[in-house]
Parts: sequence; C-alpha cells; structure tokens
Amino acid sequence: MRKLSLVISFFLALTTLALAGPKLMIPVTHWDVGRVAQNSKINHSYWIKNIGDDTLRIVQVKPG
Amino acid sequence: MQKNTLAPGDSTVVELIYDTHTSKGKVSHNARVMTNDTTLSIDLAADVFSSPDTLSLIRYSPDKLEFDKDAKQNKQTVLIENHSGARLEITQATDPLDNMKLKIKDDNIKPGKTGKLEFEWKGDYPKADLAHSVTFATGLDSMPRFTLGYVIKGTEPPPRPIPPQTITRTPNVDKQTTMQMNTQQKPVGDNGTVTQPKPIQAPPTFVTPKIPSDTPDTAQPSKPTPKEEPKSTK
Repeated sequence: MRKLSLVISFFLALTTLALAGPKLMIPVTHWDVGRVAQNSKINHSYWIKNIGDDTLRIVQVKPG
Repeated sequence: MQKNTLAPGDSTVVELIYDTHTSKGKVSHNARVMTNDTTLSIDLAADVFSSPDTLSLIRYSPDKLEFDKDAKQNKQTVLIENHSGARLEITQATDPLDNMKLKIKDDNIKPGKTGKLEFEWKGDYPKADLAHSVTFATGLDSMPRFTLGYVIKGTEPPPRPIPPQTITRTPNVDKQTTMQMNTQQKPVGDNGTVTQPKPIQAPPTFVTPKIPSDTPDTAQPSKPTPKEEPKSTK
C-alpha cells in the first residue's frame, strides 16, 4: 500500500512538472478559403491560447 | 497580432493576410509562431482562379468588391450561380469587418438557379485602402468554400514613391587660395577656371629734386631725401 502511494505520488509529480510553465495551443492550424479570385487579399485569424500556468511570450511570427 | 504576452488562460489572435496577385490554382502559405514554449506552424490554403470563372460549379460575380465613397458605392450585390447538380446551402464561415453588413438573401440555391448576397458598408471611409475578405461555406463536397475579397477605398491617394535623387558635387573654391600670389600655384577663379596672375607693379619712388643754390652750404644742412621702401609682397 505504501509502495502504491509512492508510485502514485511520483506520477502526480511528473504530471505537474510536465504542465508547469507556459503551454501554447492553437485549435485550428490549417484553413482552406476555397475558391478565390486573383488579385484579392484574403485573411484569416488564428486563435492562440496559453493553457499553461506561466506567462507565454510570442517571440516572433515568421512567414514561411 | 493583438498582444505578445499571454498570461495563463489568456488568448490572442494572429491574422494571416495573403494577396493572391496573379497566382493560379491551389496555393498554400504558412507562418511559424515562435514562443518561449514551442513553435507551431499555421497555414492558409486557397484555390485561385482568373476572372471570369467559367469552370467552377459555383460561380459568383462580381468576384471582387470595391466600396468607394466618391462613387457612392456603399452597397453591392453578388450573384451566385449554381452549376452543380446539388442544392447549395450558403452559410457564412468567417466574419467580415465590423462595419460591413452582410445579408445572405438566398441561402438555399437549387441547381441551375441564382442566389444573392448583399453587402453594405456602414462605417466611415478610411484614409488608406482597407482590404478584407469573407469566406462562405456551400455544403458541397467538391467545392466546400469560396471567398470574396473586398476593398474599402481610402479617401486619400496613396503616397507617391520618392524618386532617387542625383547628387551633384560642386568644386569647393577656397577663397584664401585665390588671394595668394604664389608663382607655383595658379589661382582659381570663382567659376573654376584657372587665371594667370597679374604682374606686380613696382611702387613709384619719390626723389626730391635738388635745388641749386649760390651760397655754399652754410646754415641749412641738406635735407635727406625721403626714400620709400618698395612694398614686398608675398
């Protein structure tokens, strides 16, 4: 019983460490606008969320 | 992007803008979002066609909208032609600008029929052109979406590009050099031409004439003749 509780607490500590710090989440990373005419400016907004427990800093958004 | 720092539980928006220019066919562009946690990639895909569109199962005209204050074009109607064999269910997939009022007049378009979309710009006109787009879902598997780009024309003309300036250098004329009458250096005039130095004239010398007198020299001694030393010039 004692060993079981030790194992459980160890895994809990590991999980806590994994979630510690900022965590970036982008629900939708791909968007297809479909048919669009030439010489048009199309735009789409992507939601970015911090699901961690520390401050998330967006360093740069670099076009590919 | 609205903000660079997110507290736990906070969120923000990153907007990707793509100008289709003269692209044709299926295109895809992406961007990398780099954070202190990790880096994720976001991408935008499109199927670009050249006007007029004669191939698509769903054709709409005009395929681009322009709202101009001077031309009093704040209302536009788009016609959607259903060339597919199935009924279309038009729904709005993305939101237009806040001051753009959008109305889907016919959200169910039967095969071979035409539907209408109405756009009305209700806001103030900006100084510079403002381009945006709105995406519609069709309910058709072969062509699930189409996007309509629109421009709110600005009230001020775009700034003219500054032409490249040509720099002309004028010779730096040193006034002190021209004043120096040096035989080795030739003086330079104001217009950059070389002038010959003028010859130096010797100053005149004054010699008092001797007045002959009968009496030998008794009382008045002879006055020394004044001599003027010639001026030396350098």
